[in-house]
Amino acid sequence: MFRRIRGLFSNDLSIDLGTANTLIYARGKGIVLNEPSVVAIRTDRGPGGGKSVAAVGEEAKRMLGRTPNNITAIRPMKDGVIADFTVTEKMLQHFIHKVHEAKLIRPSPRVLVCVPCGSTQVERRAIRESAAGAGAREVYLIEEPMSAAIGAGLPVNEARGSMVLDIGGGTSEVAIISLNGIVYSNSVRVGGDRFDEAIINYVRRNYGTLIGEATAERIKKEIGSAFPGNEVKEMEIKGRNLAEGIPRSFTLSSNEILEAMQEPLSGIVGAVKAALEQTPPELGADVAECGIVLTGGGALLRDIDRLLEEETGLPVLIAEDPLTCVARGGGRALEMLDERGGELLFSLE
Amino acid sequence: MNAADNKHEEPMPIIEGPGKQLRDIRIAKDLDINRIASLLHLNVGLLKALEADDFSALPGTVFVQGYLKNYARLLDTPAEPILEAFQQFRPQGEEKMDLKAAKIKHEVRSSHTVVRLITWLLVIGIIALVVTWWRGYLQWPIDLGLETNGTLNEQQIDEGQSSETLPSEINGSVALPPLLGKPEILDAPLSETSASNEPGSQAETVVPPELAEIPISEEAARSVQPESPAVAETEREVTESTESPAVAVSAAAEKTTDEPPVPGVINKVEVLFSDACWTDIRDASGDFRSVGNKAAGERFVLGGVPPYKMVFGNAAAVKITVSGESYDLAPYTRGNVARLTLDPR
Repeated sequence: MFRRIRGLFSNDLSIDLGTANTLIYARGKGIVLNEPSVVAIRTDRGPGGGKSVAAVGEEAKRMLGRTPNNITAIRPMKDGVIADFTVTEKMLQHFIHKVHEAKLIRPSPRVLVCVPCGSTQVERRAIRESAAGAGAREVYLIEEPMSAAIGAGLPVNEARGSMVLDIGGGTSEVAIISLNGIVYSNSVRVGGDRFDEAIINYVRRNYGTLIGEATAERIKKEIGSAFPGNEVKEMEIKGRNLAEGIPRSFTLSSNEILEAMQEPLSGIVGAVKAALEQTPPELGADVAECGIVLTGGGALLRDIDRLLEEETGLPVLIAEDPLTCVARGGGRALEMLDERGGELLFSLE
Repeated sequence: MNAADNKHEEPMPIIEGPGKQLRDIRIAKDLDINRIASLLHLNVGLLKALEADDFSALPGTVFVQGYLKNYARLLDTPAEPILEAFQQFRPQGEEKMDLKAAKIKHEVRSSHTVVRLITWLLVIGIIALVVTWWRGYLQWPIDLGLETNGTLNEQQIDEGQSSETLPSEINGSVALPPLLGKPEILDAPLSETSASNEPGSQAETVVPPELAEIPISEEAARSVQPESPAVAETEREVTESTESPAVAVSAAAEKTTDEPPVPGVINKVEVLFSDACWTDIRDASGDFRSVGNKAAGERFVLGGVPPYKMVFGNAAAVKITVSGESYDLAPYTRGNVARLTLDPR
């Protein structure tokens, strides 16, 4: 009863609860929040000291790897699913409050959360309960590829096969969609995080130097490339030399990063090829004619479309604003939910 | 008007279609369309439609934008002008999916003034209703709490006192002054009743010194026979009042107790219990109060200032008579609990 009343003062939200970033799309407002999925937890001193949230989002991300003993910066999502239920709930609560300007009444919005298509029932239930615990009045779940396809503007309602590849922080989702339904979907636990890990391992192996996750991510964004290009970029890196134990600087080139990321990249390519193999021939022909659409933060990796083009021989297109496609698609799904009087035209849970 | 139209049209440069621009660049670079098609992994027919800006032969916007971007990259030309041109040349029926501008008609925002106003009105209304209910239904003792808190406990009827039986022949006890704040114990002599109240601090502090030797409650006791002119005379002398004897007596009572005078003729209200019953009876002034369990066979006459607020836990065991006439409790009984306000006047 009270939740319904509070719901009048809340916006419907579509949440892309990602491993790396959480995006919130509010109906009628657009993307209202785009922050890293990081929470800093402070443990009070003394025996049996309680825990409290020190920072969430951008501020907490800056603390990653730079915290004193009593503060722990946590990424509560791992591989697209909840790794720490309580912290995820706190994070969601913080974000939902942040996007509601009215402080007088506690918001109780309808929330649509995007989940990886490969997530189990237990993982989905954890996400649902986490959102409900964060104050959501009603929680809907939508599979990420469907949301990404809607957000990218693919003709999901037509009798035409559309293939979408969403490369997120923890997972990559590939799906073939036709007539508002997912014909085939697959999720591989390869994403931006795995690229970072691969860079860290490469640097440790080849340079005997340890670098942090934040540095690895910076390298990936600045000189990372998925396909050899004409231009070779270089970047000066500082890390702790394992043999000497002293910070040392060295230079990395884009070709080295390409070499470092071969393993996770081949995982994504393999998932796409497997999807094409499993696709019914009519839909496969549609995909071959129109192409594969890339969404998610991973689509911003330089020349990843060219890599997939070369590997599959199909046109590969990057959606407009790929980072926000999933959240926008979820928002559009919420609107469709109301426009069609609750009649679901795509798989919502 | 025409000049204004011309001005409006001037800033719009005539831009070639995106496909045509790309085709010009391709020809300038002397590249074969088949080679481009194979590099872009597109059909030659599709590429020709793209170069001819024939968007009807092409799939949705997202695909066309992607093809143009890839084509521009292949020709080493910036993609932004090509995409801008596409925005102008795109089919009119196909609107760009602009979710940010989506209008939500039924969305209610808390920041809206009307919503805020209604919310506050609702909150204030609910608070007012709760306060009204609290005061009316549970008889929140605002006045009593401030003025007579100290005396209320003393005035509660003692079980022993209230259990005393009432001789039926004694009449007119309702005329006793309300300062006693207790139900009259009618089998005791009147003088005794007044004597028990003599050391009352109220009477001593209010009565003038010349009256101190006369027991105040004695005056009040005499008021049961207001027809006696001698008493009235004494009263008149003492109080220097010009009112009628009856009024004078009540005025005396008022003086001694600071209570409002009892207006009009008050009928005797008698309560008889045939079985054990929890009782809460309070008069209008708050001085008279009888709270507690009454045993079977108990009987007493109400004092104080009517109207009386009454609650009986076992209504079936209670019989009320007003001036000898039975008073029906049935209309006020819910379950076996009766709540009523009785004004014998």
